[in-house]
Parts: sequence; C-alpha cells; structure tokens
Amino acid sequence: MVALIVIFISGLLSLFLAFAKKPWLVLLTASAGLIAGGISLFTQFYYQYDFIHYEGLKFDGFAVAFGLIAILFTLLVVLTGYSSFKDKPQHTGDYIALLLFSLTGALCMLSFTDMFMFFLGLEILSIPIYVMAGSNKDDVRSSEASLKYFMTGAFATGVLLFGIAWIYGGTASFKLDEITAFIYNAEGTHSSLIYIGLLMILSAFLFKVGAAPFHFWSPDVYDGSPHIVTGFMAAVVKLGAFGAFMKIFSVTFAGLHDFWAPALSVLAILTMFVGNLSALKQIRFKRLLAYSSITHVGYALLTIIVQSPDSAFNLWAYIFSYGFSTIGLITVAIIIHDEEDRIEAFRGLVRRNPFTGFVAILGLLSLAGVPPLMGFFGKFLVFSEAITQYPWLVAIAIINSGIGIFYYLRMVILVLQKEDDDKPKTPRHKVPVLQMIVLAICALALLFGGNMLIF
Amino acid sequence: MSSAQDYLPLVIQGVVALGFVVSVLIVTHLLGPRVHSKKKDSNFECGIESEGNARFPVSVRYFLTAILFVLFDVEVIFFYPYAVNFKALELEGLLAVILFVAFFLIGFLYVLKKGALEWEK
Repeated sequence: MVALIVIFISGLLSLFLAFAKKPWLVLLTASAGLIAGGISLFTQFYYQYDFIHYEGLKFDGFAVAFGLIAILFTLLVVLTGYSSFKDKPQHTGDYIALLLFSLTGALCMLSFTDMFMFFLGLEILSIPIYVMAGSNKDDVRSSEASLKYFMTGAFATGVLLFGIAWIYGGTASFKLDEITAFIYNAEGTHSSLIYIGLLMILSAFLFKVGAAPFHFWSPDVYDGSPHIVTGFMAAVVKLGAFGAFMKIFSVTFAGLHDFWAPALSVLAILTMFVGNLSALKQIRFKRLLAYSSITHVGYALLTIIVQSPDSAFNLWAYIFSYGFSTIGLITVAIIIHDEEDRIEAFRGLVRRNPFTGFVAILGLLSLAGVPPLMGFFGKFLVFSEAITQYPWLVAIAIINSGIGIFYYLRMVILVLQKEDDDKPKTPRHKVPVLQMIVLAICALALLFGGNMLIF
Repeated sequence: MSSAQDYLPLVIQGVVALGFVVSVLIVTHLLGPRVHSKKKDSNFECGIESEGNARFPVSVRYFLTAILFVLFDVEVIFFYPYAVNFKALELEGLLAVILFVAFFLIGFLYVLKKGALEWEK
C-alpha cells in the first residue's frame, strides 16, 4: 500500500515539476519515486508490516514478486524514453506521470482482493495508456491507435463489468475468497449465472492480453503508438493483465477448471498460430513485435491452463524474460529511429553500432528461445510444467516455437549483414547514456538472468 | 434457486416494451398527415432556420472546456450522497471527502498551470 502511494505521489510531483521546464528534474523525481516504491514494496513484504491497511488490496508474495518487476520495467521504459520525452519539454512531465499512474493501476491489478479494486485497477492501468498511445499528436497513425484502443478497450471493459455482475448474481459476493468458497462448496450445483459471467470475464481478459480471437486491436495499436508506449504496453500492461488473469482464473475460479480449461486451451493454440503465421510477412518492426507478443501470450496462457503450484512462478519467469527482450529491442528501435519503422532499417546494425546490434541479437534470440538466453529458460519452465498434463498442447507450442525461429533469425541475419554497396551508407547512430544503461541492463539480464531463474 | 418460471415477468416486460415501440412506430406512420416541404425535409429541422454546414472545424478549446466542466460536475454529484449521510459518516467521512476534494484541487491547479482555461492564446 505504501509503495502504491509513493509511486502515485512521485507521479503527481513529476506533473508539477514539469512546469519548471527542467526535464532532468522530472526524470530524477520519477526514478527516485520508482526506486522508493520498489524498496517499500519489498520491505513491507519482508517485515510483514504495512503502515496503511486497506481490505481491498493485499500485497502477498505474488503481488510483490510481480509488482517488483513491473516497477523495474517501468523504470527501464522511463529511462529509455527520456531522450524522446525531452524533445517536447512542455509534455515531459505528462508522459512520465501517465506511465507512473498506469503502473499504480498495474499494482492494483496484482493485489486486489475484491472485484471493485480489480475493476478500478484495470481502468487506472488502461486510461493513461489510451492517452499515451495518442501522444504523438503530429502522427495520424498515433491518433488512430489511441482511438482504436480506446473504443475496443471500452467495449471490453463493458463486457467485463457485465461479467462481474453475473458473477455477483450467481455468488452474491464481490470478494474473491467468498466467491472461491461459494464455488467450492456448491460443487456442481451452482447456478448457470456463474458460467456466463466467467465466459464474459474470460473474453475481457483475452482482449486485454491480446489473445486471438480478440487480438485485432493490438497490431494497429502497437504500430501506431510511439515506440516507448509500445514497449510499456508489451511489458507492464501485459504483466498487470496476466497477473490479474492468474489471480482470478487459477485461484478464484479454480473450482470450475474443467469448464474453462478446454476453451482456453483451444484459444491458446489459435493465438499461437495466428501470431506466428501473421508475423512471417511483416515489414514493419513494431507490427512484427505485436504479432510476436500475440504468440508469446499464447505460450504464457499455458501457465494458466495448467493447474500447478509452480504456475505463478513460471508465469513470472516468462514475463520477466519477455519484458527484458522487448524493452531491449524497443530501445534499439528508438536508437535506429527509422521514420517508417521498417525492419530493413536494422540491416548492418552490428557493423555501425556493435553493442546496440549485439543487444538486438540477444533480444531476438531470447524471444526465439535460444538456450543460453533468458527466453529459453522462461519457455523451458512453462513447457516442462505443462508436459505431464497437456502433452499435445506442448507439442503444438513447440511446433510454433519452430515457426517463430524463422522470422527472428531472419532479423538476426539482417542485423549481421553488410549494407548494400550501391545505397548510401547509414551513418553511425548516436546512443544517449541512459539508453546505453538500459541496453546494458537488458544484455546482462538476458545473458545471465536465465540461470538465476532455475537455480 | 430460481426456476425458469420466475423469469416469465421479465419476458412479458420485454415483449411489452418491444411491442409498444414497434406499434407506435407503425401507428404514427398510418395516422399522421404527410407534409413535405424543403424546410421540413432538411436535416436539422427544429423551428430555427439552419445556417451553413454543420461540418466545420471547431476550436479544440470548446471540447477542453466541456470536458473540464464534466469533470467538476461529476465531483459535485459525489457530494450529494455525502451531504445526505453527513452525520452518519462522522469524522472518517469528512476526511475522505477532504482527500477527494484535495485531489480535485490538485487537478484544477494543474489545469490552470497548463493554461487550459486561457481562452486567448
């Protein structure tokens, strides 16, 4: 709870400090707030003591583990986006503050104990991102992304609320433990209202994480939004949505596992194929990233389908590895700064900027799941847990990993290739210090983080 | 638990509502006189003569002011239930409302500083 307040207040402060027209001051406040938030989240868990208690939020081990990486990802995103934020000094504070507000929503979504806080968290998470998606006001596609995301997101929220109402109708409670107890006690005899509510909540969740067939918004929104927002959506928003997904489905609705698991399995398979097959032909980088993220959602859904005590940890490890790869790649794309965001612009990167190119290769290989990198361990944990219960699902997931390697490796080759001789040479890209730091952190995490996941 | 019969009134209500709408739509067409004229058939017929085209760019400040108005209007709506329960909520309720208003005040300060209410800029 203290962490939530600290982060919120640092967001407010950065809003107002922006009037001083000193972007570095805003960055400093936001980073300090994020670090302080992380520390307070950790200490209140470590000492099992919270200054402010509120029954709607419970920061247990799950919330703290996911919350810490949410804070870390936000910090990386803010650091890497600073160079583009400060180009518009009148909006620097707004951008950073909106990201922090969205993070508080993510923290609510990881720690709620009743449906009210869940809904509030979802809204606090989404609304700043609707705004941020359109923050590049001169670009028509950015406005389009914002409007599309808002319209479809509002519709999904409506479906979610309706689902919560059905659940309330079936169980007479908004509290998660009471709903769990009700489903457990009334095994098989509960009314059909719960099933309808469950399906509605399920579809709203699948929309938020961007799983097929609710994925149509994500390529357009990822493509149109500024790079930094795409990175934030892929890392933090997805993390918050998946955290809440796991809390509601693997814990609260665990008693109805036989009902929703088959549906979710089919959708997971669909998601993997849709994401992978659409990614094959992409020529824009952020679109490729969007389809790749759809595929990864498909893999991550396995952790929710499989009922096991390790599921939460596997999901955590998976999102951890995925987030680092995405943020690293987004940083590289910001450094390359291609107007049309073509994948072709990556050609010969390693010869121009060896370190940036190296991180790009690491990120791509990690997304593909190549062994020494973190992405492999994330995938390994997820698949090895699922293989005893759902061998066929794992088989399909591995086939999809194989398809995925094609387009990731094609990009890796592009990064390694020489530039065409007949075209003018692209000059060396300038890398600001902060982005260098982010790249270094991502590289270290991708190289050595995997071993720490399975110690 | 409820059985299917309990939902019968709901079905009846639905049928009545739908039937009313449909029958009124049909009956007005049958009963009403048909008068056509140029003014009568124009898009925005409301007694006042329409001028020019409706599709021209409006200054974004109108929208901004309208949105800000809605925000602070909603703030006032939250005061009504509080005013009714003023005594029952005691000090805790007062503190909660003060916190709520403080947040709005911060937002208002931000709006002022940002210059959103300066009409000529």
